[in-house]
Amino acid sequence: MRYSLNNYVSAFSQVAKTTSREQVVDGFVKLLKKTGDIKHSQKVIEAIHKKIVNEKGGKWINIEVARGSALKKEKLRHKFSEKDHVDFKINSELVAGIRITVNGEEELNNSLQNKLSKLFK
Amino acid sequence: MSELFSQLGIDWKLLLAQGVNFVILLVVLTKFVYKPLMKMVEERRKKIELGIKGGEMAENIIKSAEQEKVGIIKEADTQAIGIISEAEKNAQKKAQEIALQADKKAQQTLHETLLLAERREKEEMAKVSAEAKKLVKEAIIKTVQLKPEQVDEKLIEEAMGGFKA
Repeated sequence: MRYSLNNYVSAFSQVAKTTSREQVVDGFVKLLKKTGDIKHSQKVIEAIHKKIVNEKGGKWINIEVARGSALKKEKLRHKFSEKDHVDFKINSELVAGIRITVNGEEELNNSLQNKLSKLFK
Repeated sequence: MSELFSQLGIDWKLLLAQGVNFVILLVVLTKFVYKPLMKMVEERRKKIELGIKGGEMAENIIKSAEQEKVGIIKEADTQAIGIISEAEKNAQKKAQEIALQADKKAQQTLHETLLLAERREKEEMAKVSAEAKKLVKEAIIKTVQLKPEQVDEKLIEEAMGGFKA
């Protein structure tokens, strides 16, 4: 990346304070194309999204489960605040159970893989 | 007096001449025979005396040399005995040291061998243990994968019950 994620996020935040959302988004996409970082747009958007969620007092929650059948999104979503952003992901390496990460820091790992690792250390 | 000589049949002139002849003969013999002969005898006597003295000296030297030889041999014997005794002591000491070192080395080797065997045993045990753990882990995973829903539900409920974001 030509500029760091933090640079993009702070630039977006500063411009968003004074300009309308559409103009900011258009301008930002142009900027990414110009710098050649459009291929990393997903990362940049996610970083901006995290920043917005945090600024609103919410948390960025990542929930990983081993299979789709265990992913009861609504039931899990209700455990968190409306301000929080909850991402769901299937990770078969967990074998069974769940792993919850809050703001990028692991908060709870109740996966079978983790339990087995601890058991057979 | 001449009458007495005449009566005795002695011619005093002849006697005088014979006396002079005798004196002359005595002087000549003394000068040319007696003195050189005596000188020769004296020289021979001195030579003999010198020879005897030399012989005595030589005998004394031989005796002294003999005594010195005996002394040297005795001293050499004593020294040789001392050297042999010292060498024997040294050899014994050296042999003891070698035996001690060999014993130490043997003990060290034994200790190292035991340690090595113990380490290998531990390594083997660790390998076996790791293998067993892996197998058990795989078995559990396979068992869970046969019917994962219940385990999933239990683990998720357990997690959400204790989780407060």
